[in-house]
This record gives sequence, C-alpha cells and structure tokens, in this order.
Amino acid sequence: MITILQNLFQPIVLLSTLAGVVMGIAFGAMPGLTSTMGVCLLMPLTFGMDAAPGMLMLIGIFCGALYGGSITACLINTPGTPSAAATVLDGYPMTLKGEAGRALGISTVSSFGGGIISGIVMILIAQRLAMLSLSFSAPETFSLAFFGLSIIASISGKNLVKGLMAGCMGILLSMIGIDNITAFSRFNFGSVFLMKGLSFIPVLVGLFALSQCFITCEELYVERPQAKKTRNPIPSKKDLRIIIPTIIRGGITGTFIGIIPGAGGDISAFISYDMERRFSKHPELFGTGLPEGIAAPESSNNGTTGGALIPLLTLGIPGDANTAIMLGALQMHNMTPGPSLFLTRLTDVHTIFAGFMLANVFVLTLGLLGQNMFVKIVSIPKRILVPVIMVMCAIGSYSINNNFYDVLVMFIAGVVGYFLTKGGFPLSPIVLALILGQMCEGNFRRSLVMSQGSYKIFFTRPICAAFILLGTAAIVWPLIKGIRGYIKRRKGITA
Amino acid sequence: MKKRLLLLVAAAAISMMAGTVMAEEELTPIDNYPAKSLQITVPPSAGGGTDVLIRAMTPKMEEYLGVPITVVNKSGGGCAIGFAAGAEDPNDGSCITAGVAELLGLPYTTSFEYTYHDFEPICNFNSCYGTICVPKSAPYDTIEDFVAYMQENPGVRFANSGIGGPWHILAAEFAEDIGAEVVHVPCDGGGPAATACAGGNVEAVNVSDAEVKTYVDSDLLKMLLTFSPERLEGYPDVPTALEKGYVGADVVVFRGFIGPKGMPQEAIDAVDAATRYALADPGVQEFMANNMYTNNYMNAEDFLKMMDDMDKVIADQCEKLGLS
Repeated sequence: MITILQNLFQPIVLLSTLAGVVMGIAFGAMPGLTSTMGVCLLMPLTFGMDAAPGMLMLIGIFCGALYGGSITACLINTPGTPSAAATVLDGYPMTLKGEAGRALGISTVSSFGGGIISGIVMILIAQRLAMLSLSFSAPETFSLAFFGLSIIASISGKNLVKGLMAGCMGILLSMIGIDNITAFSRFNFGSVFLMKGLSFIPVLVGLFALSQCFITCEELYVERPQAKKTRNPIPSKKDLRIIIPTIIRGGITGTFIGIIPGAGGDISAFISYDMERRFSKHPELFGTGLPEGIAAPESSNNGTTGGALIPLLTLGIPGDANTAIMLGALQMHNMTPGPSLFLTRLTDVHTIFAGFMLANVFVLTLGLLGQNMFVKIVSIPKRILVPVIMVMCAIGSYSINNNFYDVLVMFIAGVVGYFLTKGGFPLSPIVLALILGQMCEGNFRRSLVMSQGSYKIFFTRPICAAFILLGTAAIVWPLIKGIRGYIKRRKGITA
Repeated sequence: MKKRLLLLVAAAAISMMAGTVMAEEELTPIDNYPAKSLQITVPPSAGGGTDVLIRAMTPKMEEYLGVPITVVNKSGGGCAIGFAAGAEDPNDGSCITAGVAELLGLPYTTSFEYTYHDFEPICNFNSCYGTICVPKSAPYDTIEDFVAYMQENPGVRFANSGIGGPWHILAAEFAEDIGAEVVHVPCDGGGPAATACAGGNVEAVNVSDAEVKTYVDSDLLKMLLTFSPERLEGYPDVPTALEKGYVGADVVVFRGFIGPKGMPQEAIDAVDAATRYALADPGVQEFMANNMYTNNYMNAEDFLKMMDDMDKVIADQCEKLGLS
C-alpha cells in the first residue's frame, strides 16, 4: 500500500495525470475533437515515460474528455463529444433558466461520482467481471442495440410521432455505405467519400452546434438569460439529495456497458437517462432542466471509463477506440495485458488503479474551480460567440480525417438540423439511431451468419433473450397502459 | 552524384543477391532530393498500426532526405479516400502514399476506380501474416486435427476482420485448398474477430499475429498455424503453412510506400534509400521490436511482384465468394 502511494505521489506521476485531465477536458469541450483524438495525439509522448505515468496520462485524457463534453452541452447546446449527446436534453434547458452554474456543478459531481464508482467496481471485482466481455458476441450486441432503440420514445420530448420520424431518419442515414456482411455499396451514388458511410462526428456537430448557431442568429437582438454567478460551485444539499441515488445507478450502469466491447459512453448515457425517466415519479418534467436529467448521463458516461479498463487489463481486450490505443501503449511498456499482468506487474497495476481514482479527483477539482470561468461563455455576446463556434465546428469536422468533405457533411447536417428544430422535431433520436443503426443491423446479420440462418440464436442465449424481452416490454408497455386508460375512460363514461 | 549512383548500384546488387534481406550498406544523408518537401498520405485510420509506424520512421527519413516530411492522415472510406487523393497528387516527388494491402481489395469489392497500377511502387517495409487460432478449450491441438475436423464437418465458422479483407480472402483460399466448406463471419476489425472466437462464438479466427497476440498470451486462444514465411519469434512451436504444405503464404497485410504514377526515378530511389536508412536505425529497430512490427524490407521490384501475386489470389477468391 505504501509503495503504491509512494509511486503515485511522485511529481512526474501527479503532473502527467493532471496534464492528461486538463487536456482531456479541453479536447472534450471542443465540438469535433474527441477523447480518441487526444489519446492518439499524446500516445507518442508517453513512450518516453515510465509505464505508470504514461498510462495515467492517457487515462486522464479519457476521463477528462468524457466530462469536458458536458460543459458545452450544458452551456451552448452543443455536445462536445458523442457521449454528451444525452446531456443536452436537460443541461441546456437548465442554462436557459439562468442556472448555468447549477447545471455545471451537477455535471461535475456526477462525472466524478460515476468515475469513482466504476473505479471501485474495477478494483474489487475486475477479474471476475472480465469474462462478461467474452460472453458478449454478435447476438448480444444486437439485442443491446435493439433495447437502445426503444429509448427513442424517452427522448422524443412532447411529440412521440415526430421523435419516431427523427429516429427512422437516423436509421436511414446509418445505412449509407458498404454493408458489412456482403460488401454491397448502398446509397453512395458512386462517391468515394460515402463509401464507408457518413462520419458520425460531423453529423453530430452539424445537427447540434451549427443548427443552434443558425437559430441564435435569429435571436441576436433578443434578451438572453444571464447566468447567475454562483458563489459556491458545489451543488446545493437539496440537489445532492436528488442526484446521489441517480449517480450510483448511472455509475453502475456505465461500468457494465463499458465492459461490453463496442459499446461506450454514448450508448450508456442514453440508457441511463432513459432508466431515470422511466423510474421517475415525474417523467413528464424530463427535458425541462431536471438535475437527474444531467446526473444520469454524466455519471453513466464517466462510469464507462473504469468499465472499459476491466477487459483491457485483465484479458487484453479493448472495449472501445480509446482502450485500443491504450493497449498499444501498454505493450510499448512491456506490460502485456492479461491474467499474468496481475502476477508480474502488480505494483504497476495498483498504481494505475490508484491513479485512476486520482484522475477523477482532478476532474472534480478542475471542474469546480473552473466553473465560474466556464459559465462566462454564456455571457459572451452572441454576435461574437456564434462566429467563433461556427469556425470551431468547421475546424473540428475537418480535423477528423483531414477531409473537406466532412465539413460539407457538417454544413448540410446543420441546415437540416435548423429546419427540423423549426418544425418541432427532436434531434437526439437522429443521433441515437445513427449510433445504434449500424450496430443493430450489422450484428443482427452477423448473428444470422453465425447461426446459418436460424433465428433461434436470439432466444437460446440468456443475455440476448433478456435484452430483447426488455426492449419489447419498453415498446409494448406504454401501449398497454394507453389501452387500459382508454378502457377505463370508456367505462367511466358508460357508468 | 557519381558516389550516389555507385552506392545505388551496390545497393541494388546486394539486395538482388540477398533477395528480400535488407542491404547492409552504409547510407549517408543526401542533399539533392528533387522536391523541397515530402508529404506522406496515410489512408488507414490515424493512430492505427500504419500511422504509428510511419510516424516513428519519419524523423530518420527526414534526416536522410534533408527535406521536411509531413504525415497527413486521410482516412475514411476503408482507405479509399486516401488512395484516391494519393493517386491524384503531383508526381514531382513531393508526395507519396502509404501503400497498404487494402489497395488491392478495394477495386474488387467496391466501385473504387484506382488500382495499384495507378501508382509507382517504391518499397515495402513491414508485413503482417495471417494465423489460424481456435478457442483454448477446443478439442484439437494440431492443425492436422483441425483440418480433419473441418473436412468432416462442413460449416465450421471462421471469423475475419472484414468482408473482402485480406484475412477473409486468406480463409477462403485455405478452405478451398483443404477442400472444406466453411462459413465466413465478417467482424468489424481483427480485435472483435478474436474476441468472438475467444468467447467460443465461432470455431476459429484467422487474423494477424499482432491482433491475436494478447489473446494467445492470456490463454484465451491457441494458435495452430501461421502463414508467415518462417516461424514466428514469440511462438516457435507453431508450424508455418509452408512447412505443412498449405497455401496462403501469398496473402499478407503489407505496408510500404507508393508514389503517384510518373514519379521521377531519382525520387523513388531516394525515398527507398531513406526507408532503408530509417530501418537500420537502432531507435527505429527497438520501436519495431517492442511493437511487434517485423522488418520485411522489399525493393520496388519485389514489392510489385508480391502485389501481382496477391492480386491474382484476390481476383480469384472474390469471384468465387461472389464479391466482385
């Protein structure tokens, strides 16, 4: 224990973790720049370091970016990373009420809480949980995506039909490009750029950030809500009492989803938001700036960090793009992940565990310290803020593949997003469907290849059957409730 | 100039004698590269194996060529975007492209209009070889047992890293060779394919040795066969396809440099020499050893021959698989 603390509290270890978190927050907050990009860029830098500080820098970026995305999501209705797409649902309405500080405080504490919970789970039962990632194959991933699609109802806002229409649009968009099972080109009109489908980030940035810029242009001369300066950045006792149970649920959900290969913070944030709304006493108030609506996605997406590290360290299986790069960094330092890692390099592993907790503490401190500074973004005059955001949208989209075509996609998505918002269509279902569409379709067909055409594969595997049942229940239950209500009312009339 | 020519002649002579083995001559940095700078377009994803290796080599190549090198990631479209851009680059020696195995498959599986004939081969510096792995708990311990099992039981499932990719082609070629009917399960990359096999959801996986290494080391998979020309360093007990008389050694995931058609020979030779200069550097060698990149240097001629051979296999198998 003492050696671990000694390892951890070396200036170089502390400094590299802190630097990672700061850079992660910056990368997360910029629309278009993601944690994966940050981890990629800094990986060569860690080659010169020792194993522990190098890994902790990358972990710091990972944790920081998942938090950073929520800053712009709350303040300017623009998710900085895909994982923060669910945070805009309640974060921005709270800012519109003039409570930007409160929204950020809740998101900071929730991110911290989610990260810490996943860290505890990782430290206590990592080796036992790791096998879960192996039992997740194509049918299970399909069923998870299927369950995820049922969430569209939860995030549709007032108009369910328009939400479903938006969801279908997202699924259609996800079908562009070569299909992964037969290599057939779909809807690419002979263009090289559409060959592998739309890049996700430009669509996200266009739909949320650019369309919001257009809408703001209309309101340039309208009074805007001024953010109250908060003396105490920590959420009030009343808020804390509401969000702590949410954070615990979100953190645990996030950890489990993080373990699953191929599912990350974006999906888990939506699932936690949906769960919170379903089990809430006042589901109709979600989307108007509820503290739970911010706490659920934020605790959940930071929960995936610890979850994703579990299969990475114990089995050498990366759960997402970030951990895939970390796998390379681990090998670079001669730490081959797997069961043997816990025997041969136990001190390093424990230092990484302890450093993971520390990274989350840094997220909390930096978030709370920086809060009053972040909130100032809201008070920047719109005629200055809007052009700056527009430029950032273009740079962010371009930098993903160094490709001007992505900027064009972003621009088109922005124009479409503007008109959809004007028409009262919610944008989140498009994003959710775009994330899940390919995952759902690809894995459905892959399962059928595995089973050689038999649909039995979806019902004979327990995890898969359970998710399909949950998804079906989520779709059918509101219908039954509606019909029962209708019958009751009819009875009331006849009686 | 004369000295350089002599050197090149010597280099060519030695590499001809030694085949694909790297020439051991002294290379001294040049100061007359025909262009003012060199841009390397990298079509595979940023931070991926190709990108990381090229970025590790560029400082040394810069030192040799005496001009600044910029690495530009143009990923997306399954490498199509990068290759399309690379083929249209100016051919004055200021631009080259990372030539990776995807270039061969793209024209067959998609409407991509550029082939490797639209580029000048420069050299190859690294290759990955396929392997056949099965879950640790599988009843067969040798490739012969597994081949017998495949011949008796049609419908053994092989996970690969993507439809029409090199490993898919390799599995198809192997199955045809041993006369077995297999089902190909395309996954989204080598890692997910190995995970599917480790979880026992498919009977076998054939992806590169680098992609299965952690799985084999943590006792989730066992490697039965490798398609490398020689036994793999970390797995001396695993036989090669050549030893056992199976086909498949001609399908490799190669990484090299290609230039736009019509690139001056002088520039091609200089980039080739710069690559050898970088590969001979102890720092680069240590980096490659730590990250399981094997040095498979090939000169332009051998590189082109390898692509020709592999192209034939891909054309043949894509037609049989109904992909083209």
